[in-house]
Amino acid sequence: MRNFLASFRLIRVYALLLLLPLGWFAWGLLTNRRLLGDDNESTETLGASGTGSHRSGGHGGYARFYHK
Amino acid sequence: MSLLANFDAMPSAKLACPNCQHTIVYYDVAGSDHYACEQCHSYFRYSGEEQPVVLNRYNGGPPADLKLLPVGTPGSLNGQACRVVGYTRRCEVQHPEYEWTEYEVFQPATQEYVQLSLFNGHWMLIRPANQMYEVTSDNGGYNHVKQPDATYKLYNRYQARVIFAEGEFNWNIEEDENLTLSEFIAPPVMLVQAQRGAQATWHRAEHIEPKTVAAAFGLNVSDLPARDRMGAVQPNSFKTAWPALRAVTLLAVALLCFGQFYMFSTYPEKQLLNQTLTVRADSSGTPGTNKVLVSSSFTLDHQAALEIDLRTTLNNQWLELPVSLVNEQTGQGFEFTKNIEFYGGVEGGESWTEGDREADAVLARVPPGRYHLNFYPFTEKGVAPTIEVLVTTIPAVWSNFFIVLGLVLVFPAVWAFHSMTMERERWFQSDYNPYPVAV
Repeated sequence: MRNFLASFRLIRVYALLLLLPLGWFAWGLLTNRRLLGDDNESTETLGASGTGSHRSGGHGGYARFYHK
Repeated sequence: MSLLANFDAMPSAKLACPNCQHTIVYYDVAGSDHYACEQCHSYFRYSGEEQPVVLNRYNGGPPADLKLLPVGTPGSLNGQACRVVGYTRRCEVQHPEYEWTEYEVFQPATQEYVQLSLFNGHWMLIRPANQMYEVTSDNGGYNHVKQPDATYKLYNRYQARVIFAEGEFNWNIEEDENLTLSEFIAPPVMLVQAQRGAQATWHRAEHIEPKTVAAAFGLNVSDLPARDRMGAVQPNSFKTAWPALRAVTLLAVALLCFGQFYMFSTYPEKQLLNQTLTVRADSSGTPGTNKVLVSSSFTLDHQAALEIDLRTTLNNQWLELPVSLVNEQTGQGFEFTKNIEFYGGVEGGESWTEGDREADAVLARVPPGRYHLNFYPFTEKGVAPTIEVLVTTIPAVWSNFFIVLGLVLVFPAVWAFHSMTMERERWFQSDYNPYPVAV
């Protein structure tokens, strides 16, 4: 155990830095985000909040809006 | 009372070199019986009763590190007063290019000796093991010594020859040439077997940092020779930290897996749409323009990421397919475009294919609501493939998992690489190198 604690001291900075990617992952998980490379090309909804509030003056999604 | 004052009170004696009459001061008055003159480099035996007998004379010039710790230098090792009383420069009999230095360090309080060994800037403190060890062989023929604390692997086996000496010794150092020395290592410790015929004695050597040597003898670390390569028992700091690094990394991976598992168990994957649509040409448009295809509506009951899979019946054709996901209540839209092409045939008796009939896209952060998909296909004239559309909710985006997993693993991977590199370097000079060496 003493050896383990001694070796842990050598990597304690790494252990702390590890919280960054884990936090990033948790953020993506809880907000249904894709962390890199979203396929959405719509300028209106790209990175928009998930509440889906309607905004006038947008384009992209609206420009090709079509309903049967 | 200072340490040096203690040394002043330590016993010493003098004798004259039988060759040049130079006065030699020695400190192990009761034990020493062999001496090497600092003036003429004669090596002789003298036990106080008979006439001194000159055994050898070291004609080579004094080694460069002779003045590093001159014979007579006082010091303190592990809190115990000591003095450098002998210097030997040795080389391997079979490979004379491998040379090293051994300092005989006498501890007057216990009347015991330790040796300080210096090779390529790496220091070891050597003591008698005062016990025997059993050497065993594995299937590959490599020998090792198994102990409760570690398995000591055979690192080197050689015979040594003295090429220079100075000071006093309590044994005939020239007879060491008849010894076969086997070094077994489990860094930072080395067990050394000295075999003469059927008789063997063991020594235990331990890595010692240059700063410890410098502190013991009142030197500056910069005075000591720089390290070259990896020492035989130099601690591998990467390996030392590995247990903790592995534990922390495994914990992080477990948290990642738990997050994915939790989301998949709480919000299971759900197929929202499975529909096949057929591309139809739009005669009013330019050639290749097709009518807009509209999917059935489907309902998303919670915010989620959606995976949209597209499977076509293209055959030596291409399809450019802009797609809109439209919220029927708010008009909010998500868009992506896929260029799908698939070609194949037989050439020279071998079949070939290029491209893919399928494509997929992931749309993140899609709010709950009622949706449908609009497709705006563009193809070559006369091409009318069908498109099977599958829309599925993704509880947790897998690409996120793998991206973060990669980030978590990259540091341990680099760490492990460095650790292995150091171990390879350690064993590079060994005749018993377990690592493959490029020829």
